[in-house]
Formats: sequence, C-alpha cells, structure tokens
Amino acid sequence: MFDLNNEIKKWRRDLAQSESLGKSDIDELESHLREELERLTALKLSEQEAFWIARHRLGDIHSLAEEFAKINTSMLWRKRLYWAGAIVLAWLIVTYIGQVTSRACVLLASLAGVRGYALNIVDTLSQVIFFGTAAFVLYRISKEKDMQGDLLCKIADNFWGKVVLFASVFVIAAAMFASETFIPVVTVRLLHAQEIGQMLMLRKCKELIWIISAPLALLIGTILIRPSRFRKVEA
Amino acid sequence: MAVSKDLVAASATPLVLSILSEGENYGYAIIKRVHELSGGQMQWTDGMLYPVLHRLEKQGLIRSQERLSETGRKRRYYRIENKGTTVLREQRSQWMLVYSTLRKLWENEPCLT
Repeated sequence: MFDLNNEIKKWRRDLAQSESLGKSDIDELESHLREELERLTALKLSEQEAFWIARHRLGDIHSLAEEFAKINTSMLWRKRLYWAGAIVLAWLIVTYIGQVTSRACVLLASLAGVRGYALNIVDTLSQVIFFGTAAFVLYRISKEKDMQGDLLCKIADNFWGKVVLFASVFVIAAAMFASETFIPVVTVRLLHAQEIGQMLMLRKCKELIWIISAPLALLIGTILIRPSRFRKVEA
Repeated sequence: MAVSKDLVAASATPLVLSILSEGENYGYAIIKRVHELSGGQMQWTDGMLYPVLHRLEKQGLIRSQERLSETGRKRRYYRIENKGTTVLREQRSQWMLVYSTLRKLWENEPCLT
C-alpha cells in the first residue's frame, strides 16, 4: 500500500543526507512538492503517480544537492566541522573506555589473586577484546545506511539534540578520566613494585604501537563513515 | 522546442526579477507563471528555481518572508528590493540590445523555412 506521507518522509531524509540542503530548504521544496501533488491529484492521477511525477519535476537529489552546495557553502562547512568534532569526541570516548576497561580487569584479576605475567595477559587481552568489539560495532554502523541517516538527521535538525549529545559525551569523558586515575591507586596497593613496573613497561610499549596506528585507524574510520557515502542517487 | 540549458540559466535572473516586479510571489507560482508565459515551452527543473532565488536573496536583490498561505500551508514569499529593480532595468536593456541585434540580422536574411 502506498503511503504518501511516509514516501515524503523518506524523500526528505534522502535530501537531508546530501549535506548541502538545510532544513528550511527542504521545507520549501516539500511545500512545492505538495502543491504539485494537489494539482496532479485534482487531474485524477493516483497519489503514487502524482508523487512520482512531482518528485521527478523537482529534479533528482544529486543535481539539487549540487546546485544548493553553491549557495550554502558556509552551512556545508559547518556540518563538516560538526562531523569532524563528533569523530574526535567519539574517538576520545572509545579510547578512554578501553583504558578504563583494561585497568578495571587488571584490578579485578589482582583482587582474585592473579599475579605476575598473567596480569599482563589479562591487561592485553581485555584491550584486544574491547577494541575488537568497538571496531566491529563501527563496521556495523557503517553498513546500516538507514540508521546512520536517522541519527545524522536527528542531530543536525535539533539544537537541543546536539547540546545533549555533546554534554553527555563530556560527562562520560569526565567520568572515565576520574576512574582512570582512581583505579590505579587501588591497584597499586594490591601489587608488588616489581609487578607494577613490568606492567607499566609493557603498557608503554603498547602505547607506542597505539600512537603509530591511531592516526591511521582514525583516517580509515573517517573515510568509512563519511556522510557523503550514504548519499543516494536516484535512478 | 526545448530551450537550451545555458539559455535557461542565463535568463533565470531576469525572468525571476520580472515576475517579482509584478508583485510578491512564492516558488511554485513563479514556476507556473514561467510555464504559462512560455506556453509550456520553457521547462525548468522545478527544484532549480530555489537555488536561484536564494542566490538573488544573498545578493540583496530580493527579500523573503515565511508566511502561512490562505490554505494554511507554510510558504516562503519573495519580494523585489530596490537594488533588484535597478539590476532588472540594466539586464532588460542588455537583453533588448541582444534581441534587436539578432532581429536586424535575421530580418535581412531570406526566410529559410
């Protein structure tokens, strides 16, 4: 069954994904589409036929986006800046959570009586599992086109949505920072100086690998989930 | 006869400004007016009108205002500014010059059809 409002919603979402159209631009185009729909349905066309014709007359999304991009340059850059900021914050959060997770695992293991090299294995293993999961989730998100579009639209459309998102990110970052400081204080009391020294040495080695691979991973991640990849071109 | 893309693009500004000099109007009605005046010969891709309107607004030639129509639909109405009237006058004399030059050339030639 053809649902006109649903089709218009989908069409709006496709337009929003093209980055270069703002909400007021899309509202104006929708108003135009609806007037044309009214005229065509008055000529005894079905809603579906009228929608197809009206949408076609407005022009395909790709060329519309191209024309609007020439006008809305500052908005386009603002959106890209938001996007870059979101990526950096997400990266920060994932790294923090990863560190806290592994430190908490070490604490739990040492509380359970694990000592020596086994602690290093726990440390490394928990990090590998965490970042593996994070990479998998990121990959899945990049595959889910609809989910991405909805998420992007909601953030881009709503001022308070943006505020809440960024505020919650900062709260999480602060909480992670606090626990990252607090956990080692407890761990230190449980272990011998030698064990702690060993672990710190190994951690530094891992950090070195991290420093080298992080920018590369960031770059690949950014390319993978860039919004323009989800721009649908109408056939 | 379809008007070429370049000519459509070049004539967009004087067309829009001329229609708006008749009184304020909104996108859909502007498209319909062009369609009606050209006897359906000049067909724009409807959506392409809006970037033109927004560009003219940025240049200060027209001004827009969002209002509810009599049917309760939100519409953006455009109105020509003084600067727009001046630009329209300049464009008009340019187009008239092109037109009269071509006409003189074509009048001297025997009709080919």
